[in-house]
Amino acid sequence: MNATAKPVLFGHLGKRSEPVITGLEKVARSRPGVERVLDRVAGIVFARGGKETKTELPRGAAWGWSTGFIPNRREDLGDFDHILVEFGDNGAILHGSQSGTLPLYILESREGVTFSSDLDALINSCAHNIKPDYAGLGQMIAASGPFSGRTTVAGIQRVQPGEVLNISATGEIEKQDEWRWSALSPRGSTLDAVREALWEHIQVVTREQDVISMLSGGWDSRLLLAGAFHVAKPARLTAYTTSSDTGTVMEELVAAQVADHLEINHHIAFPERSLFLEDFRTFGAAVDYQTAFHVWLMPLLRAVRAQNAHEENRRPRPLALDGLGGGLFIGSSFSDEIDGGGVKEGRLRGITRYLNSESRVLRSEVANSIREQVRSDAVPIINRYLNHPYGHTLSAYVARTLPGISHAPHSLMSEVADIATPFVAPSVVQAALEMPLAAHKDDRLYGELLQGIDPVLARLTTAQEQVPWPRPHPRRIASIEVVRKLRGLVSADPVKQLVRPEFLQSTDREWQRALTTTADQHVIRGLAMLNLWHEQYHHLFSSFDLEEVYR
Amino acid sequence: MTSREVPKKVHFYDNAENASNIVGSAVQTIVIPGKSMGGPTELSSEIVTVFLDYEKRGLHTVLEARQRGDFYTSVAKVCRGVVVTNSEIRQEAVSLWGEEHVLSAVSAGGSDVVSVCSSLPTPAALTWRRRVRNTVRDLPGVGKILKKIRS
Repeated sequence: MNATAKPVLFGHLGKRSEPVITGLEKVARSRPGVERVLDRVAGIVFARGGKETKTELPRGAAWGWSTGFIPNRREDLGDFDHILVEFGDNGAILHGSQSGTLPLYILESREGVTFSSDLDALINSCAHNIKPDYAGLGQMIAASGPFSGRTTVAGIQRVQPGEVLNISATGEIEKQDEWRWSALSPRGSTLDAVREALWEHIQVVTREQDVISMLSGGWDSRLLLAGAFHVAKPARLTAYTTSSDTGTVMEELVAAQVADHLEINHHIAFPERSLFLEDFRTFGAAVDYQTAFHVWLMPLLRAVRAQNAHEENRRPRPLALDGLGGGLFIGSSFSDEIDGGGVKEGRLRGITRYLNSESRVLRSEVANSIREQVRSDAVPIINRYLNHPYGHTLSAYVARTLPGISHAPHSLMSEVADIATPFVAPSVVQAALEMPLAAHKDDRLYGELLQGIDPVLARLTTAQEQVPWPRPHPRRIASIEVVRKLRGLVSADPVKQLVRPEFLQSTDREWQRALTTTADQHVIRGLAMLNLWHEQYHHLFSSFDLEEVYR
Repeated sequence: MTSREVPKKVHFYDNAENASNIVGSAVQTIVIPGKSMGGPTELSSEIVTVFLDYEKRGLHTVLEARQRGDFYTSVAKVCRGVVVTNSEIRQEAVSLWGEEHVLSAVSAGGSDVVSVCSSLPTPAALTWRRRVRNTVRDLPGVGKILKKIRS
């Protein structure tokens, strides 16, 4: 069972079913610190950690929960990501977060909805008759992670942004889509509006907190750090940087320039080669094996954990500023580049980017089948936003940011810090998407936002603009020690049936070469994660046949 | 050219004189003395400036370590490899950097370290193949043609 101590929330809404309650109580007993926080006719909720707010209503109660800041008053909740459970006369309502970045999984049944912020808790509460979602598995291996509401387990869905479930006391479920971002479009918003929303959000979430910046060499973390430093002015501000393992130490060097300029404490977390497998396993468990994206973040998590332990509880748990969504909503990461295939094809190619050329790693029928499955889930998303001015941003957000990247703050870093993701705060997204598209061109908003508070940081060249070629630094994931571990995971049953036999038999040197290319490395990490997922849950499967991935 | 005039491939980072750390085109490897040898520990703006130059040029940056404490400074954490001059700390270096990026020398600071570091392969950015490719790429109009072929 998942061993990390991240905040967790789970429960059941609808008809009170003894087997379901018994399953949830079993999970609660197995996790130290989990408490029953609500117990009503229409449902039961357990939680550990996180922040909560409870409001008694005339005929019920509302209970909000988050991995980060949550205001006391219900009417102030809007700008701060949270999951909300409301109990009334005739049932309950479960609100996913507006951004959808706070993971929330549901299992529907005739008795209503069993839900959890942690997939492992949900699986273990109903530990019988689990079937893999083979399309979800393929998406975990070769896209960002299962998307479109899928997970790696059939029947368990991830709640989408703004999704609301009404559950009657007899267990009937009605779903509503209350996602407001897709209705936003340019209507003359200004830089001032973005600035005001961003600074206000940062000020509120950092108030009376020790703040940690997960500082890279890029714009997002720099802007958040500068906002905290110059506008919010927390009593204690510390920056942490680790290698993003892309073959350069430019990130660490530029981050050091930023920290040196602001004269704040800066810790560089070194990616120790011998700890890779331990890091990979810890990461997999923390993110419920739904993605293999941000394994490189593990040394940073370890550094913050060590620092917290060093403080010996003399300081409160810090707040981590995470740049999730910055590239999409402030920057221009997902502008359309028309290269002959048209807008739709260009966006699709972005989502299937790890399978756009022939895979050296996957058998061709496996790669083809996964590519088709990813496309078939991605096409409805792309069509939905095809004519939206920010259509590429919205489709990339739903199919890439949510499934793959949102886990890094909420599932991983939440173990050691409260989480704030200001770039996906509704007020910031609204101000940014109501600006003309051209206002975001070439990442210009970052410099313009920084100019008013720190002209030096506004001009400082980012790591990305200085990345050398060929990449000079040894990647941890391509080191011989890691190759030996990854070979072990990918060459084992049942995973190896997805892999080209000639790749399985190739030399360590050839594996090292594959691990220095983006697409092959991504697929190898995904396959290794599949091994860990299978190892963790195979005893709960009612059936398992990996051929379903490519049949 | 006499042997004394052979351009040196290995440069020892000079902690006292930052200007001397801007090295010529023949240099392939920078040896950075560890903390126990009085080497730099913090990534001050002066040190970052020269390290940015090394990184852009793809040079090997090798930490020279005699004691365990040498491994854990901010400067050590951006070095590409390590040369240990004390066999007792080799295993810890391998655990951190990986066996392919740990060198061993018998004695500190001198010819043995130079000899070991000289055995490193030419950095990928400095091979003749790469230099010719970069020169051709930078000729007027060639970049556009290559981009067209690739697309």
